[in-house]
Amino acid sequence: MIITIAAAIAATAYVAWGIIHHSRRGDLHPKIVLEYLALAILGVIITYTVTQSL
Amino acid sequence: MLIMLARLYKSLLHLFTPHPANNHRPRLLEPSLLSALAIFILLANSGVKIFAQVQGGILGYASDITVEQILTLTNQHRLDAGLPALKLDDRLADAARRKAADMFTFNYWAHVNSQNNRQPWYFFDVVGYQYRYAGENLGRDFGTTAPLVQAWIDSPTHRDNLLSSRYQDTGIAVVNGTLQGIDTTLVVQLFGTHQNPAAIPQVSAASSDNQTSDVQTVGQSDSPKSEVRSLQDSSYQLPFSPLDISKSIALSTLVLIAAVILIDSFLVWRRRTRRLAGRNWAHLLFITGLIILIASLQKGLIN
Repeated sequence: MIITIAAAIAATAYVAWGIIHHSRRGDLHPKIVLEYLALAILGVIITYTVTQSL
Repeated sequence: MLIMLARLYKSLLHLFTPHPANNHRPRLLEPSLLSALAIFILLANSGVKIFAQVQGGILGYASDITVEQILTLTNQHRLDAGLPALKLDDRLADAARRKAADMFTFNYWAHVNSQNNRQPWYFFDVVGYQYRYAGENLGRDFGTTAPLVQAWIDSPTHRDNLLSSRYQDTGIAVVNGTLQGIDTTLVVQLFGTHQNPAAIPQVSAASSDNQTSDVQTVGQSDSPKSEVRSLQDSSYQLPFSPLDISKSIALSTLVLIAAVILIDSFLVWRRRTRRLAGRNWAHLLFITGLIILIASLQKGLIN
């Protein structure tokens, strides 16, 4: 569980960074936010499935 | 046929490389496909777990650990260290099974049951093993026997138990169950020397258990009380470990995504494509972190 939480925190930070970064660059678009979100969610799910097998 | 191959080639090209037809972004990196991938992984993982449960009857996880192998490896290490081999003792085996059952019942992962203050030596007493010396090693979540025994060897306190000249008997239990919310296999190895060697019961070397779990070790006890012997639970054996399968699926997926991102970065850089997309290096950093995290996940704990 701790590992999944750590992955979720990292994923949240990654998405937050992406939004801030693109916002500052002036090219923030819902498509980009979705891209970061999809990768983050996939990452957390992958980590979750592996830790469930531990 | 050729048309089909051409279509397949085109589909793969659009899936893995940027192209005007896919808006200069590999389809694999599109949110819709990434979401589909996440759902696929969830389903695949559930499938593996269900299969393991159906095959195993109890757990969603199985290991190749056997009492026999633990005994063999233990004695191999002892012989290498110039020590006599340990004998498998039925009472210690019974005590180890009782200890494992106690851990599952009270849901704890420790040498001492903090809820009723039961020490490992309690189980030696229960089975009537009057010990001169006693020790306990515990393990869980190991897929095979060798890493489990190696983990004990690598840990000074567990190694002291395994390679102690004080011990003559051992009892091993390999038991499946749910511990702290996780389906696992618990391994309990007890060590002891009877107070009166002549009174030691005949040892049964036949043990057949296959399970995985955590391992814990308790320090040696010099107090002249009873010893604990290993318990053994016989159950099922599956030819694979769900952890290995989950890790393989996870790592393959992440490596594939990372490879596509690298190809995408290269082609976009070479073609000087301008597009609206996330930062590839940030994606790579995130995925690489996950790959390292997942690759470093090891089954098995010792205590």
